Amino acid sequence: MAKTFTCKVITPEGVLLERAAVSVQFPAHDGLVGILADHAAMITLVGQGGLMLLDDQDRVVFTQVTGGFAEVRQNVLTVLADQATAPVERSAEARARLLEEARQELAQGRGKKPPAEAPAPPVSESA
Amino acid sequence: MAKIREILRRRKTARNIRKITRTMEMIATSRYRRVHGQVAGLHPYAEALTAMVGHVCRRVRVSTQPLLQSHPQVKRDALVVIAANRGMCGGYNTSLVRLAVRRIREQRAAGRELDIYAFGTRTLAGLRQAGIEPFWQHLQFEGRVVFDEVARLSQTLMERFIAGELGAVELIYTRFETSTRQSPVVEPLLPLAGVEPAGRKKAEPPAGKTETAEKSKAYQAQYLFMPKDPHRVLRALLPRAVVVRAYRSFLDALASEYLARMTAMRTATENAEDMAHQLTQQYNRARQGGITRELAEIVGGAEALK
Repeated sequence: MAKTFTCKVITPEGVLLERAAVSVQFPAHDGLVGILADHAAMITLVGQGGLMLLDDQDRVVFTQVTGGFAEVRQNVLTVLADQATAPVERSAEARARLLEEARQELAQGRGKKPPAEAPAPPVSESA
Repeated sequence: MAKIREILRRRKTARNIRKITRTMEMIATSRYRRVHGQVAGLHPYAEALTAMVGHVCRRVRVSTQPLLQSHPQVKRDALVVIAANRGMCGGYNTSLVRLAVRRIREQRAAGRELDIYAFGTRTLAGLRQAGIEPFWQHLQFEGRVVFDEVARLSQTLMERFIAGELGAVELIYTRFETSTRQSPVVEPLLPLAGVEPAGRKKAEPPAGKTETAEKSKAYQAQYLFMPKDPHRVLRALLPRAVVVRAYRSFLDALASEYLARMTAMRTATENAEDMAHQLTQQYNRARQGGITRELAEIVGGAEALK
């Protein structure tokens, strides 16, 4: 079982997220930072982008953060975000299902044109 | 008859007042709950931010940070006075303005020049009554505290402070301690205090400057900083801490105001109820008196006819 640490996301409106995490990825001021348990003490400025938390039940929690500060200290990651969206949680099954659906859509989109009565929104080749 | 009509008119007025004050109490209660939620929500953020600033300050020489330096040579201070835009909240405005006036007089007697930032029409009226003209006034805020507005005000104050125009900035507001206890306080905002670890003076006297570069590096080695220069991190953290502290004071003031209004309106409602009750009794007595008198007159008239 992977070692966990506590991740807190706090905004001026309140504590948005507080739970045990195996890994957390968030945008620092100049790029993405990944944190695992027993990370060295660190303070960083937070940029803008998605924060992704993976817990020991293989669930992923996702939230968008904008600006602020983050600190790692004694196995606690505290992200003080200026702004953050409500967290969205996805279990491993839900993620697998979504991935499968996306793959199917992609395969259908490549195989033939979408039906005329229900035109699909334009999708770029890379999507 | 005239007396009875007069009592009825007064009772109607008392009942109308009771309706109005009860409504005002309900409005104040709902607004208080909202603001109280905001105060409670901000608390962990403010705590964590202060802790974070403390951790950085412990590892760098803070004497170079302009927001932490005091300017003893500057003779001008700023006072931010926060009271309500409206009355009907008991002694909330009066006690705050009284404290503000006392502080202003003290500071002026000590030879300080003051720029007073007045928030709320009641603040302005109270200060003017005491012969004090504010430097800047903001009267539009009504029932809410906008973070960006507080951030703008704090930014202006910080710029003036860093430029050496202001020696200190103080907030005078009603601190919301518990739901049964709120008290008007004078609190320093700049130079930022209470962020350094214990054992260090807030203004970092020359002793801090003698700290060797090696020692300073050893401190930093325990922490990773991104960006690498901890001073840059601190330069971003400290203004945020100032803004959050100011925002918290504004929220505290608003929560205290609504709570004061709630209490005042509850008392007013109870008083109006008492008055309506008393008037009902008076009315009943007067009505009964009238009936008795009429009966006596009828009986008297009948007796006279015999």
